[in-house]
Order: sequence, then C-alpha cells, then structure tokens
Amino acid sequence: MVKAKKGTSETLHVKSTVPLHIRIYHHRWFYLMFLPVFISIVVFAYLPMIGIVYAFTEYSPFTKPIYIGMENFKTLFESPAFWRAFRNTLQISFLNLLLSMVFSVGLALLIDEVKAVRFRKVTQTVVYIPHFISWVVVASIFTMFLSPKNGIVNQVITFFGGDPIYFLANEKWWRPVFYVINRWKETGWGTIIFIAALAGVDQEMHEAARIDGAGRLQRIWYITLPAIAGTILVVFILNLAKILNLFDSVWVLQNSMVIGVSDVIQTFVYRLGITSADYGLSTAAGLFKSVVSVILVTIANKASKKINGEEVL
Amino acid sequence: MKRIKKGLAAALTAAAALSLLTGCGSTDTGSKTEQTTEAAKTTADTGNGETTAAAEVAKPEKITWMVHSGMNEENGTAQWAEEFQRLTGIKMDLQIISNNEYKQILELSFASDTVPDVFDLTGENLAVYAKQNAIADVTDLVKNSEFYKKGDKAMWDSVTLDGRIYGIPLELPGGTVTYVRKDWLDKLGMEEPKTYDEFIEMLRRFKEEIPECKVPLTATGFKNNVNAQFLPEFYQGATPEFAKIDGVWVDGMSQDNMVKALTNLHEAYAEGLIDTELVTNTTSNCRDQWYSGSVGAFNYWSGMWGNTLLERLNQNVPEAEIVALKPIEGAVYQARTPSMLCINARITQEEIDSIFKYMIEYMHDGGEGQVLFESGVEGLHWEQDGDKLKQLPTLSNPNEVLQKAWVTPWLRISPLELTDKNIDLKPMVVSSLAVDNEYSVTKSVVPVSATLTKIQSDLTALKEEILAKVVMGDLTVEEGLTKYKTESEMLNVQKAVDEMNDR
Repeated sequence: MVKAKKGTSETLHVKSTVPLHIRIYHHRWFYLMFLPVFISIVVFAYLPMIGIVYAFTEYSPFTKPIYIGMENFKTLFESPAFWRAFRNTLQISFLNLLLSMVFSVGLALLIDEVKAVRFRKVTQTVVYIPHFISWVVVASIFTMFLSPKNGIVNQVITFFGGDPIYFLANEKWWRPVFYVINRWKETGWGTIIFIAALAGVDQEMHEAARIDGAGRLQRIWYITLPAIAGTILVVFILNLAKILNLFDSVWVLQNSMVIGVSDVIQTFVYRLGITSADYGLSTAAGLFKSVVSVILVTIANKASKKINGEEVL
Repeated sequence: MKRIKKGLAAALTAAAALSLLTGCGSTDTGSKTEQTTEAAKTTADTGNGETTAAAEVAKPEKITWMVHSGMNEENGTAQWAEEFQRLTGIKMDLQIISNNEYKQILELSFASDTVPDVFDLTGENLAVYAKQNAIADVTDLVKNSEFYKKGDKAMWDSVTLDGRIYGIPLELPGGTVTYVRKDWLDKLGMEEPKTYDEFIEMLRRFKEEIPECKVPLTATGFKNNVNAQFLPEFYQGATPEFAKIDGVWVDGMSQDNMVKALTNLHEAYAEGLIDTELVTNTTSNCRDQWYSGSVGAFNYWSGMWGNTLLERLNQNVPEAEIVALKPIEGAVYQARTPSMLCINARITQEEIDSIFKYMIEYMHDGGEGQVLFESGVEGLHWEQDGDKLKQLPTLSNPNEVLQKAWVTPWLRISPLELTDKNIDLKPMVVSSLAVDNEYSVTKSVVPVSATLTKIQSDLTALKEEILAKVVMGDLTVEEGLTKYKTESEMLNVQKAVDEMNDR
C-alpha cells in the first residue's frame, strides 16, 4: 500500500497513501503514550513562545503592554553595550565550542585506549564529577585558587620569582582562565557520547590495520576518527544551537574590571530584565539571540550536507 | 493480555499527563482581604482635603504578606502566624520568598494579578511602583497614626515622595560604620584617626608594623550603590550614585568631588592599603578575612553586626578589641533607605484602611502587637526574665538566639510603651549604633525617571567599570571621568537627571 517515489537525490522519499486518521488510529496506543510528551512540549516549550509578542511592546508588570513596533529592536541595535555583548558572545562561544570538541574527543580517545576495564570505569566516573558541581561553587573554588593574595597558582608563580597576577580581574587573562575552568568542568561530561560512538567502531578494521603495521596514532587518525566523524558533526551542530546560551559560567566569574571582554548577550539581557525591569527590551534581545541561533544551526546543517552528503536535522 | 496492556498504557498515560498539569492548577493566593459582612465606613472627609480613619474600620478575615527577610520557616513562622491569629482574629497568610528571588516574584505577582496585600519595597524601586499606581498612597493614614507622631521626622522625610507617603518603614534605616582593631591602635600607641591623613597613616602603620596584618582595609567590589557607603573615608562625601544636593538631584559621578575620591582610592590601592581583591570580594569574603584576624579596618553594618564582628574575631584572636570609629573629617556614613511596607493599590480603599489599622498600626502599637512583630511568640521565641525580655535560642540552631521576628527591636520606628519588654544589648551593639545614629545620613528615595529606567543597567555597568579601572590603575582619574562623560552623554544621562528633578 505504500508507493516509493524517487526524489531528486538518491534518497527515497516515501509517501503513504493511507489517510492520516487511519494511520493515527492504527498506531493509536503509540500516540497515546506520546501524549504526555506532546502536552509537555506544547505547555512548556510552545505556549511560552506567545511571550515573543512582548518584544514589540513596552511592557511593565503593572500595566497592559503597549504595542511599539520595532522600537525595542531599534533601541537595542543603537546600544554599543549590546553589540559588545553580541561580539563577546560569538567570540567566547565559538572558541569554547571548538575547545570543547577537541578536548572531549581527545579525552574520549584516551579513555577508549585504556584496556583495564576497572581503571577505565573509575576514570570515567572521576571525569564526570565536575559537571555536577554548581557553577557558583566552581567559581568560588577557582577564585580561591587564583587569588593574588594567597591562591595556590600565585604562590607557585611567586615561588619561581614572578609577580602575582589578578587573573579574574585582568582583561588579558580572564578569557583564557574562563576556557580552562570550562574545560575542567565540562570535558568529562562531553566525552559520554563519543565514548558510546567509539564502542561501535569496527574492531576488525583495527585488526586489519594492525596486521598492516599501522601504529596506534595512525589507527586513531585513519580509522577511529573517520568512524566517529558523523557523531562529532551531530554533537557540534547540536551544541552550536546552544552556544549563545552562555550565562551561568560567565555571570559567576564576571566582575567590573572585565565587563568589556566578558559581557555576553545573556548577562546583558539579565541586567535589562532584572535591573531595569524592561521586559520588552530584554525579550527583544532574547528573540534576536534565538534568531541568530537558528541561522547558525541552519548554516551548520547545510554545511553538513555539503560535507557528508546528508543533513543532520 | 493485549487488552490489559492497552489498559495499562492508557492508565500510565493519563497519570503522566495529569502529573504534568498539576503544577498549572490554580492556587489560592489570597490576594484579596475578605471583609467582614459589616459595612464599613472607613474614612471621613474632614473638609480640608485630608481624610481621617473612622472608628468603624472593618476587620479583615485574612491578610497576605509577602516577606523575604526576618524569621525563616525553620524558626517558627507558622507558629508566629497562629499567634497573630490568636491575638487579632485575623488569618495571616505569609508568603515567604528567598531574598534573591523576591523582586522577580513580586513583579510576577503583578503581571499575573496575584498581588499580596502587603509587601516591602526598597528606596530604589518605591518610586517606580508609586508612579505606576501599584501601591496605595497612605499619606493620610500614616499622618493620623500614633506611630507617626512618635517617630523620627527625618526618617519620614527620607521616605516621602513628592509630599506623599507610599510605604511605612519596617524599621529605622540601618547604616554602616568603620570598625578598627583597637588592640592594634593601642599596640602602636595611636589615637583613633580624625582626619584623612591620620586614617591613611593608621592603615600604613598597620601594614608595616603589625605582622599579622595582611590586609589593612577590606571592602567589597565595585557596586555603585554601595561603593561610597563601604569606603566613606576615601570618598569624602562624594558618591557615584544619583544624589540630592541642596534639593536638586545630580549624577554623583559628574560632580567635582569625584576627582578627589577616585584619586584617594587609586593611591591607597596602589600603596597596598586597600584589599588587593577589592574587585572580586564579596561581603562574606571580607567578613571571613576580618574574623581570621588579618584585617585592620572594615566598614560594615552597625548594631548586631558590630557584636558579631567582635565575637567571631575573638574566636580566633581572643585578645582582639574593636572600636566603631566616628567618621573622620569629610567622611559621610550612609544609612540605606529603609525597607518600606506597602499596601497593594488594586484592593479597595476599605481593604487598605483595614490592613493599615489591623496590621501596620498593630505592628507599631507600642505594646502587644509591637512585641509580636519584634520578638515573636512568647514561650517560643522569647520569655519574660524579671523586667526584661529574654530572647530564646532559635528553633533551628540552639547556639543562636532569635534576634528579631520581622522588626529589629533596637531599630523600631516608634517607642515601645511596655517597660518590661526591653532587651539587654551587648556593648558593641550599643556603641556601633550610637555612632551610626549620631552621624549617618539616610539616602533619599530616588524619584522615578523613564529615561533612567531605560538606561539603568548600562549606566550602572559603565559606572562600575570606570570605578574599578581607575582604582586599579587601568585608567587615570582624568581618563576615567572623560570616558564616563562621553559614554554617559550617549546614554542621555542628563535627560534622566532632568526627569528626576521634574523639569
């Protein structure tokens, strides 16, 4: 009862001729089980999107919203602080994403090479732990470590004759420190999917390569990495959609000295919303951020099609 | 079997769907006070434009009060509400919110029309709410009350906005004073400093001659609304905030005295007299350093904090003594605008009158009600000890006594008439309060400005960045103030000032 129709590419697009309501009835128990998920998505993901209209209004909690067209966007785009935050977001996020991919894949490969099962499991558990520590606690820990008065890092620096560095209040040092802290916290967690993908790599190919005389690094480069390239791309694109959602980690490490290099869209929006209670303007900033995210994901998806011949989304 | 599976699937699905929606159910927020059935004539026109509360104010059945400071639930808020109901016959619905979420949740209650009857506002946001007609104008009710007649006129002036009163201070404004290690002063044979030069000399000698001194003076980061408050010696009366000078609102950052203030701060920081980690310090960092005995001077809240700073310091350094310094020449100790209790303007005037009479006036009645709001429930939070009121250990921590229920007893806005309910205060509480009461200046309620509301976050970030960079030497004083002038003009700060002055 189904008819295969050839598309423009080699992919086959299958279109059912069975009416929708009959198909739904046929799979009614699956649909019933899907219902709670559907309701939760509608209630918690789609209905709140109605709030987007506030981006086009002057809105305070005390009065009814007044429609002002694109005025909020005009105010936003005229603000140097907004563009600074936008630029910082892109710079910090892209480098952070790149580092996250490199370090997570690297650590996953290292863990995969460990042959002792017990040691590997212990290692995996240990590297996951920092992910579960709240950003507030992480910031406190690193503020102590990096203290110019008595932090362990500066004690080492002074021991070797250097001058203490106020890392968190120095524009040159803040971003590198931010990347290091992020990698310490999230690299382990980022390995989960890659370790799962590595488990599916065909061992016969490794065996064959080993017989052909390939070394460990060569096998990683020519067999393992190409085998998990699809997974890496999917993770990259999924993370790309979230890169503009940079808040907790920046907020807890930010201070007045480094606002120029650390203020990102989310912290900017938070200040607008909380300090000024300007919900219209902060919704406009949030909407702009979402649009940019969609554009980034679409570009990455198209790039994926060009590279791999198929889209991820 | 197939039918059982289907039934199970349906039941599980229904349960999951219902559990999802349980959070969406309506709750009784009780935002309206329910009046007794007696019709109440609550106000009477006196003929001169003022209204006076008449005797027949109806008693509300319930009052909802959103609170975020004072007693917490573990220490018996439910028992307190029961006691309030026992004494007044009114059900008190306490909506206890954590301090850091309070502003958001209160705004959300307005957006969702679930506003509590009573809530508190700071001096920074009172004008915004008043301008939006979100809070009741209680000028006449206040001016006809007993507690107003017995209270401090200067305090009432500081919370008056365009001649009207929208909030009743929960307690007197709390100020900060500079605490100094007296044992170090004695060791160095020094007197308490009275001028800026003497103050700097004191810090310098702490740094050079006291081996255990790691930080001559500590303070928190560059938050523009507290920076001048916690570093008054260096600011010498200047402030980066908006300030009322000779009846006119000005932008403190643009005043001439900021040059001297920033120079003082930069020089002292460069010399190592101010905490190196000024930018990233939190108040708890500062307190911990002080308790460890490595700090010489620290500006902090007067009253109970004075005693805490001494007792916790003595745990590490038993011989340590501290003194609350009188302000040095030119320095101004500041008291924050008090938290003000406001009444929701969306309820009827009769309901406003009844809440004012049965909650606000009861809270400051000089007797039973005042004791309940200050010290809590007899037998649970306090007990009679001869002719004194003895505070009992808290329910959550037997090593601490409950300092207050909702109103700090030694910061009451109106005197307690009962002579057998006074509390013995520790000497450090008394001495720090004495300095605070004599010298501190209360900030005024900031008037509303549409422009300021728009630019507030950008302007605050700009001020904090410039303060930090000048003090730490990334910018010279001149460069910093020039940058501020240029960028604040772009934000249209002058228009905000004009609006604040109603031009």
